[in-house]
Amino acid sequence: MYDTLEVYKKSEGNVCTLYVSGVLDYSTMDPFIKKIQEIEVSSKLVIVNFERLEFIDSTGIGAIINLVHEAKNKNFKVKLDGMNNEIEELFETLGVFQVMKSLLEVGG
Amino acid sequence: MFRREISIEKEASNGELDRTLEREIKLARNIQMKLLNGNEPAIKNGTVSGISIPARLIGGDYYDFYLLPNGKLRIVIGDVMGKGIPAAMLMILTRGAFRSAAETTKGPADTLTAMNNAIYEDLRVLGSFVTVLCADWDPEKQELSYASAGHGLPLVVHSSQQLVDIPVAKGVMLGGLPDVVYNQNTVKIEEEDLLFFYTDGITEAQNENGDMYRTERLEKMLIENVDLDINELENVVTHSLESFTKGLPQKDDITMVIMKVNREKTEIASYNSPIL
Repeated sequence: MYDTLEVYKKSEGNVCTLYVSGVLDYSTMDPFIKKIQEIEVSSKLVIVNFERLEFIDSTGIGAIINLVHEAKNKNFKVKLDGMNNEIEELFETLGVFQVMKSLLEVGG
Repeated sequence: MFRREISIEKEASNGELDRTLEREIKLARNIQMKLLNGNEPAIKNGTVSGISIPARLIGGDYYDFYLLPNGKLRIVIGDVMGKGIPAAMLMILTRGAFRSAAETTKGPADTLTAMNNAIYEDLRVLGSFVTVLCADWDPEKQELSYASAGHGLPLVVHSSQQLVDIPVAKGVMLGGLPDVVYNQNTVKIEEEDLLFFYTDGITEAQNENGDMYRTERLEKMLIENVDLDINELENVVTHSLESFTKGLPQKDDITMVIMKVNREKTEIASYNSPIL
């Protein structure tokens, strides 16, 4: 049995939302990277919706960190939405929120 | 570079490239295993040991020991983003950063700050990161000081079979942000206490139903086996993981460092002390 990932992209105005469903890990990354590359240049806010995310490994988290750095460089915001307690705790331990706060908040 | 690639294609047809790659991966594995599984520090009245089991031929987990001139033992455990050869290359980069930083820094927090300063740019260019837990064991005061760069804290189990709640020390992963200043915390270690440093390959090991091993199961197992010596504990943990996963292919690198303090005060005998 193989892990799978589905990513659905929805753009409204200058807000782009990525709905992530399944397992975001080393073996399933490609659809997520592809959708990130398709984000419109005009986007001012990218929302990653984790409501249907089952598992994320370090490679998946690396993609989120890279998205945040790209947001800093290209001047758009990133919001992580709908994550369960377990994933939120993991992101807290790794310092993902600290990276977001430092790079994307006013003055960052 | 381009000419070399063409040359490889011409030379390595019909499986020759496969054989060359296989040989080079085995050599890389030997290098990594020798660097990773070096001599463990000899500790009087106490013991410390580490083991790393890569999910593939080579892996991205890392642990190391460094004896400081002040008699303390510096312990580090880390997990590079990703798996296999790319992770292994960055693991060597991390090891170099730790070895350089360990000689010149005062404590675990300073060490992580120096490591991040040393490898941040490289990790950003590569879009990668490393989680690291660094700790100094002071055998005189029987204290463990520790700092975290995005890595889980060690588990401390008292000989009375109770888990010790240690103070939090949080910090961002190496490669996440530039110029990070890390904080450290300290916990007093009682005689016969067990210290267990680990990577998430243990707690995220999955069985056939997709259930994870989880921290709670690990804590319970360590509590039940706190009386064992460190080598027996290593075996118990690995057997427990094998039993849980029922032989399913290992998905992530598994690494643990176990330290146990004996009744009499520990004294670090000798281990790669820098020449000053």
